[in-house]
Amino acid sequence: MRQILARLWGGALIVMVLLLLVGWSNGTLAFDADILDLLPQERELVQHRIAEEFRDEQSRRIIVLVGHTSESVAIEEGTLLRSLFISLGLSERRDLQGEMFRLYFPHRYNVLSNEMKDLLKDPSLVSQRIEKLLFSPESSLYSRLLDKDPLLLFPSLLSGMVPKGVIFKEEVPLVVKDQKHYAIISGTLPDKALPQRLEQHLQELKERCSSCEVKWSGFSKFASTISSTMKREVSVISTGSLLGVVIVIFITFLSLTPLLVTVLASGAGTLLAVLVCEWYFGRLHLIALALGSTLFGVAADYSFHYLAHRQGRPEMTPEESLKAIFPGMTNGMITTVLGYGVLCFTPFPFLQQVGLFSALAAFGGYLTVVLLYPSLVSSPRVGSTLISRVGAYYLSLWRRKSYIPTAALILVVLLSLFGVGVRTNDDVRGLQSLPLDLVAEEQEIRRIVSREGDAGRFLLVEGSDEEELLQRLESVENALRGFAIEGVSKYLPSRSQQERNREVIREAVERGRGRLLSVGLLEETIEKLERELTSSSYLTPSEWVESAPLPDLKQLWRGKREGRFYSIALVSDPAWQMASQLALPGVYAWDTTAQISGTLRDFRTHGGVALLLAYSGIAIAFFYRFGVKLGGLVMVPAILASTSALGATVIAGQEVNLMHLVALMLVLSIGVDYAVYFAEGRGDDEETMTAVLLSASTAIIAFAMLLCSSSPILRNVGLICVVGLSVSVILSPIACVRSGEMKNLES
Amino acid sequence: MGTLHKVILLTSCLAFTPLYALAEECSYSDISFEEEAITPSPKLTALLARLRQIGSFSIPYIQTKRIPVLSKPLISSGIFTLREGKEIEFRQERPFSQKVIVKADELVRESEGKRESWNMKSLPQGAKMTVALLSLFSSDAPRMLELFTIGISDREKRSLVLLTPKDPELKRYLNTLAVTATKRIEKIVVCESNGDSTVIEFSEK
Repeated sequence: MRQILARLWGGALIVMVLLLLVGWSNGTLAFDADILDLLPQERELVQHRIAEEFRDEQSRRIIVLVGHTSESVAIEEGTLLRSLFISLGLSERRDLQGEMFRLYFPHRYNVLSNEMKDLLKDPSLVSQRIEKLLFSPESSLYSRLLDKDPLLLFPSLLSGMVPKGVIFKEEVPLVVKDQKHYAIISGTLPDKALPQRLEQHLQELKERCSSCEVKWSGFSKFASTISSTMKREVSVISTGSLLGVVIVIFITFLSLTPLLVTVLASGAGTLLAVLVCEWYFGRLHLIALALGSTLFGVAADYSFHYLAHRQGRPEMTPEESLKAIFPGMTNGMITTVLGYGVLCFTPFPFLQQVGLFSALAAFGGYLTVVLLYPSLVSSPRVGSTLISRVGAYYLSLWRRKSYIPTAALILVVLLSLFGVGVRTNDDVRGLQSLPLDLVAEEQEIRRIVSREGDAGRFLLVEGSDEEELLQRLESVENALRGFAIEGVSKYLPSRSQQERNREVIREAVERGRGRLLSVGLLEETIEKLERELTSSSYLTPSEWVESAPLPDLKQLWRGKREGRFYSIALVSDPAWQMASQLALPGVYAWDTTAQISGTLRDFRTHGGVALLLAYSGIAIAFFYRFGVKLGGLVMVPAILASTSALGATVIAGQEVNLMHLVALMLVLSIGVDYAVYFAEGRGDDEETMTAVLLSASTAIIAFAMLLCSSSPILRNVGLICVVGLSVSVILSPIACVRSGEMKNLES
Repeated sequence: MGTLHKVILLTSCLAFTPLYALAEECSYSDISFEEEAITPSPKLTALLARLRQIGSFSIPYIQTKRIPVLSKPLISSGIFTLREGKEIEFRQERPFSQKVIVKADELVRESEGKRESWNMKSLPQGAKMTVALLSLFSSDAPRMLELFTIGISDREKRSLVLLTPKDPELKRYLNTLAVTATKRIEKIVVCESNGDSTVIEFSEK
């Protein structure tokens, strides 16, 4: 039976290798790099869903600036880039000028700029403005409008809608900053990755026009940089972890066969984990992959168990060795799979991925050892090795009650005392280190295009109908008057506001009729204006949504959701504090960062309680299994491992977050076993010490590799696990000494 | 003010604004002109040479702008300055003060302490109009012939130079530009395609 299963598993491994190669070559293996993808999504409320959708849309926005001292070069390159954007479907070809005119000219009496609203309060200012415009260098443009728009309201409306400083040339928006002309090309990516053709075009542009300044911003830029960094780091961590395992195994067994079979067991586990996670989650996050890679060493533990037994009991056949260790190994695998499997039921995609990845890696490693090892490893090298000699010496220190273990214990306790000063910080921004040069470029682009505010921070406004929503948006705008707000109310006033606008115009014409006539306007022109004021139609939301040639603004209008209407208003940074405290009905201040940080804080708090419960549960189990005294001693390394790891974070200047807690759980699940092995020992403490050192060293090497990562998450986990597992292994003989004494007493 | 809405205004208004009858100043049918060939005639060369001699100068002006939909003309006055044929300045004093400076690549307006400038390349018609005005004042005959069909009529020691745009884009904007000159330019009449007409009269100091 085992032979059949062994063949099946061997065949499955070959198929998995082929699948991996195919996936790798055709690019179907997809990895995520956005830190927010790792976090739980609140999607219960419609507001949450709208915020999430908006955040997703914004994360796919891309802005490219092509700057040059020559305006014509900027226009030329901008036009080429714009055509590429259109051909790639990132933006639409629109007759912006014509569409703006067709939409707004018929509504010139309904939609007024703020400047015009103020001006209309004083009819003398209205006539002065008309006169001024007609005497300006562009008087010909205005004179052509006079017949249809005698108050020249439309030019004011348009100038209020075009971002300050932006001019359009051949449909390319241009801005002049620092003596340079910048063409601004923007669009929406189909996903968070930059299309290859666009990337190639930008590269060619830089080569073709060395004097051009090419800048682009958007999440995709961060994602591609972080993704390539993470991929590099995953490969370094995996290689380092593998190398560590290789060295340790070689030093221990001084033979190539154990090395190869251990790599096979770990590799099989990792392969199974990658393929199943990719299939189940669709995309595997690089941080989960990196963390999962550290478990390469953990997966090797089953191999060590088998090899150590073969080495210690060479007189037994491989099948007998397997039979001897099978119950313990199977129990270990089940508890590991269950332990990691629990993470799959948390609301955190990150923990789900790590949990499933680790459980599968452990299961794959276990299957390989159980099914393939007896055929592969028959007679390993027998004899004393460096690790076993080190283990034996260290054990003798404990037995002789040398001062060294006591000193180690005191040091660990001292380190734990630092844990008193632990500080927490749940700010999600602390979980990802963004490349400083990219952050600086993003800020520079915002400065050039004069775009303030954070797309992750906005006001979500709701109304029972479109009119109520628009009125509430206007209330927000009035409350924050003087600050830069990007909302739809400037472009789509409520019906009541449109009526007020007409009324303001009517009053201005009535009171300023004489002045308008004195400018030279004909009586019939003014009468026509008055007739149109009552007869023309109002601008409706549906008309605006259908016709407004402004995709950025349309994204702010979220339409009808579950019977209510929603829109978003972006607020500049200086206004955020005031905006977030607005006590207006139906207005929610939405701060994605604060919200996610709050969720992280909640999970950290709950996670802390869960960790304490886990410790309590394990302690009760140990008390039951080993009795109060030995059970208590077994718990000592586990408890001090966690407290000293927290102390290390204080010394390292880290502030504790949810990821530290995850790492503490790993320390508990991995580290507690070391003392248990001794407590369960049957008089073979030296072999146990060797096995513990072997397991711990491979795990510590793997986690130590995380300390080199640029990701704060991985560094946090690395520090906790390295310190925690080191303390676990250093203090683990405490259970051996005690159990030895007890055995002596029993005998 | 952005170029966007200027262009919108221009293009869209052209579509529906009725073409008004030309103002009286814009009627030249009873005057016979000698049309210039591709190379400037001796008459034009002599006229331009005469104007060129004047170099930089400042002179008072009165501008009368007639817009068909207005019941009365818009009249402004101030000081006109030409600087080495490279820069024109209209320093308007009435009905309110403002300064408009026209260069080959830039249009600047200063009014009520505010300064606005436009890049000429982003205003095609405006740019050509400016080039036309500058070429006229700098007596750049080849440039003038490139942009306009030029007719000259002499009467009582006065020369009337009529410039009709060749460029279709400029034609949509401008009908004729007429210059009356003796030793100096006395009057400019700009007749626009929408029926607006502007008369700028220069007087002796």
